[in-house]
Amino acid sequence: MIKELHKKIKSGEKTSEEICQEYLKIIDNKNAELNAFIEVYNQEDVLAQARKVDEKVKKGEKIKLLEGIPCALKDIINLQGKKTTAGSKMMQDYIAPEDAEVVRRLKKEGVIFLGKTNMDEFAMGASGENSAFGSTKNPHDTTRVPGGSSSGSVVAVASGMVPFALGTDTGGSIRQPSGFCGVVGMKPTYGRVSRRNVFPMATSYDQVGPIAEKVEDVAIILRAIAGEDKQDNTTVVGSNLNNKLEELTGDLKGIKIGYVKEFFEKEGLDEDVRDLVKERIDWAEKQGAEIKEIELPNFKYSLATYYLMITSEVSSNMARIDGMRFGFNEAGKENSESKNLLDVYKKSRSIGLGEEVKRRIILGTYALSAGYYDAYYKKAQAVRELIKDDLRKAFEKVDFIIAPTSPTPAFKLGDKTEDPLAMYLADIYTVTANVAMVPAIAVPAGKVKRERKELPVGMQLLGKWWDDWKLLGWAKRFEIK
Amino acid sequence: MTKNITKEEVEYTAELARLEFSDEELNKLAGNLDDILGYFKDLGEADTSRDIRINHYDFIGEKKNHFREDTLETIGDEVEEAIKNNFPFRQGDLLAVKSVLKKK
Repeated sequence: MIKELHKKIKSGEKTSEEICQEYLKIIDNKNAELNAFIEVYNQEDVLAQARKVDEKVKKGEKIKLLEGIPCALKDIINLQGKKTTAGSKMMQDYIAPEDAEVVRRLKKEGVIFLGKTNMDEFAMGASGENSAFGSTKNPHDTTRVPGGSSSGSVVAVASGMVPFALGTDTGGSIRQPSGFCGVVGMKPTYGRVSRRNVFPMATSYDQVGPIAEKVEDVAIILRAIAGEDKQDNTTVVGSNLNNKLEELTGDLKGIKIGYVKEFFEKEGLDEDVRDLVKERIDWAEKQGAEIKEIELPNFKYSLATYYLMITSEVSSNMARIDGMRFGFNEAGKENSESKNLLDVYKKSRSIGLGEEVKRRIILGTYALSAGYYDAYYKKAQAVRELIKDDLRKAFEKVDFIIAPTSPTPAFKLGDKTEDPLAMYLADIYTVTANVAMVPAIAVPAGKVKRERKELPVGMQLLGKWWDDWKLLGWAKRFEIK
Repeated sequence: MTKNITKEEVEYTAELARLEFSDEELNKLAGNLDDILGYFKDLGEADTSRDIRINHYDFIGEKKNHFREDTLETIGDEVEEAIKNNFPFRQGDLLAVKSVLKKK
């Protein structure tokens, strides 16, 4: 898609202005129903940026691959001078003082930003329903959730409002909605992409990643945003990607694919989802891949490890959200009830933050509190190492592992809102990649029929640390023609 | 069955976390947390008896962690101004907050 758009802009077949206009029109037509965008930028500002690119083309100047191509950003990623709400009432008036590093890099490539997308508040949720700006809807069936937390970014791509978008993935927040909406989304290796000026949820888990319709587009975007950032020392020296797109051949002949029996025997796994993903594995075998059964003995602890550690990190990261230096401050309210500083903290946070965010803060605070730290957080850290060891051993035998992205197709809006544990279980297949810090990509596996609607089903490819580019190549082979 | 967490413990934790809840919210939260902590209990079965070195970055292998020089870098006036503009109560270059001490 990006290559085609680029070709059009370069040849003058279509201007960047026309392309941006077309996408803005689709947003205008569909956003009222789908609620994918929290903010769409002023049309004149957007088109003025596009015209600059078009002028370059007219003058015969060379333009870059991404120049004049529009996109959307999950509203947790800072774009200087624009609002970053993080899907929260707490942050509804916050103006980003600086660009996120990923935004700076995309700007350098000439990308045009159309707006900010809806999301679960502070990226906490698996359905897109925890937003102070209302739920996002699944474009395949608007009575169903799009998944979360990068709900708006995924829906924007899936409904053709933008050619690509950025999301963040802490435990599946890019891959799970990508699966529910039938697009491609990737969580890179931890340390691949800078998180500077992206609001942190769980610091040792978060990664920014691209969402698009095609694997090749995801590769183009990942290449543009990857690499060390001296202001984010979780990024690793040598994490830049300078690979050529032609390398994405992804021949499966002789490639060893890991099959984890437990994934497919798990209670709660929808039979149709299971069969679809298994069919894709059989297909890969016919292409010459070798399917090897592997064991991940500690997979069963992944979800508990994940939720324990991330809620702990959330409680610490969210401490800064107190209404003092930015955000909602209760003392500014008419009829404020705050009498002293402590009151302001408590009331601002209690009014400004949503139910799920508060639940996670309490869980994390409890897990880190005196008397529980060893039993919970420290134990989870140790189990995380066991899970990493499992994967290390697995990748000695196989090139990548295939898993479903979610146990079911998209569920109904409201289905799990009253049962947080059931909502957490929706992340069962995605969290392992974040716990082990490996790259993982979600690609469509097929569709199932539910209530006379066709719903997409996703599958994941999990690769070895730093094998992001190879993984993209293999994922490209799995694209359904 | 003993509870994994009591309402009183939730209330105390809320105090630590600088959050306030109504009685109804507390009851609901205690129920939710009881379920979730019950699920977390499975972790206790994981065998972590061997000496496990916790090193999140052991996978970087040949690659190196990024370190920067310990030198002062400024953000520039424009960014500084933008940060101050986000203050809920700005007085010149200062951030105004409620008093910490109680008035007599």
